Amino acid sequence: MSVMICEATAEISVKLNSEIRRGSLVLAVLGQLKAEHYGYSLRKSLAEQGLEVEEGTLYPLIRRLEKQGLLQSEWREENKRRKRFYRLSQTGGEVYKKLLQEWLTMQKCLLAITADRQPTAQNQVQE
Amino acid sequence: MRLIESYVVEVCRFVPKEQREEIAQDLRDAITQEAQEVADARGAVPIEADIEQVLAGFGHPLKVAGSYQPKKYLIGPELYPALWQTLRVVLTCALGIQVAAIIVFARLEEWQMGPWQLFSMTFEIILWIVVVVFAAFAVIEYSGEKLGWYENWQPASLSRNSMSTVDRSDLVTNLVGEGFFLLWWNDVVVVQNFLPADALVFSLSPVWEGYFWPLNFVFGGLFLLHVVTLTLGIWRRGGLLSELVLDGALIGLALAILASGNLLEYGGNLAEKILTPSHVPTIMQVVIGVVIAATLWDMWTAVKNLQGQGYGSDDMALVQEQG
Repeated sequence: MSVMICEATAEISVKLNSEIRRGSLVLAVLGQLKAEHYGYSLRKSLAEQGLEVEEGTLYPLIRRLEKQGLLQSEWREENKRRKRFYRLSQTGGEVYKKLLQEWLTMQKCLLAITADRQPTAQNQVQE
Repeated sequence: MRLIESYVVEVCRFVPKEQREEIAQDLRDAITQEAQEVADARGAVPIEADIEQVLAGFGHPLKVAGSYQPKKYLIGPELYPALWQTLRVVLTCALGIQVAAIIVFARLEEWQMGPWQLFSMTFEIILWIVVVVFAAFAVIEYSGEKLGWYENWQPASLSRNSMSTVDRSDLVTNLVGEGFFLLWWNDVVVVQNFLPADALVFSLSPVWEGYFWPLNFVFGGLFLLHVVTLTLGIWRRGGLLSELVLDGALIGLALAILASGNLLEYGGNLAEKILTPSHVPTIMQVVIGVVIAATLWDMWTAVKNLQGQGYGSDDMALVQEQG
């Protein structure tokens, strides 16, 4: 019985995590592209900051953001290889600021709501 | 590079034609770059294993193709519960009518349709209903998005006739009883007598013939009402009033039948030994009495629901109670 409950909990957590990530990913990509990146370097820099993104998710997302006019790209040669570099467009910069503001407001609310449930060093050790 | 091209072709099969070339180029560049970076990390030139590793990272072609498109639904998550409920109601009603039609035709003329034809006809009805309901909901989905149905919703549009949720086990019990009665009453189902033919034989007396259509009407009405209520999952005022009217009619018929005299004919050697002429009316009185008691119980439940003991209680009383 407890195994079944654990499995159900894990399944629900995976779904909810994926929903949270989906919403946050756009902001993360826009934020990262304040500086210029090509696909691989963008993925690596996100991963280095703790946000692992699958290639099959990242590249279509970059394309969608570019189509929406939030990113601009150019082909350049680097280390004798042609690479496509992306960075925020002017519209992308404005949208990023608004999204960030919304995110910070949401974060503040969530921190207040979950204040008594946030993991501290002490209760992490107890768990 | 055979793998890369195969992968790109596979992904592009599932993207719109006008975007295909652009996405193919995008994807080809992305995979090549990733493979080169993986090979650089090893300090060598890309080999097939590097490409396989990169493609595994990209994932299933269908999933990648989906990621290139905005999320689209034929029937979205908001409409899905309504679609499912409509399908259940419409299918149940259509199949109920189908069963009723079969019963009537079977009685009126010689039944010439075989089981395969019957199955085929029923399947065709189900197929058409599913197609029509899906098409209607697809139209609602897209017109709803365009006309802003959700945004323009007003609380005043709520039905004020929702009285209470249904007791499913109670309804199913009624449905089984009514369904069985209808099948038996119309000779679709014959109750087998397992005793030797000359031991004990019961049959209804000719008195019952006069009640053939009234009982069909009342039990058929109750059956349909309970099917609809079960699929809706809620008792509405109209449904409760219909229940009371039909229950009242059933009790009236039961009392009239009881007053009609000899209701059961019997025969056989065993019957003569164990039954006296006074037993038979008593048996019928008990059977009809049980039917009347069950019907009265249904009426009592319907009256309780009408008085608003479900979630149709008075709003102000509810608010004051919470306060």
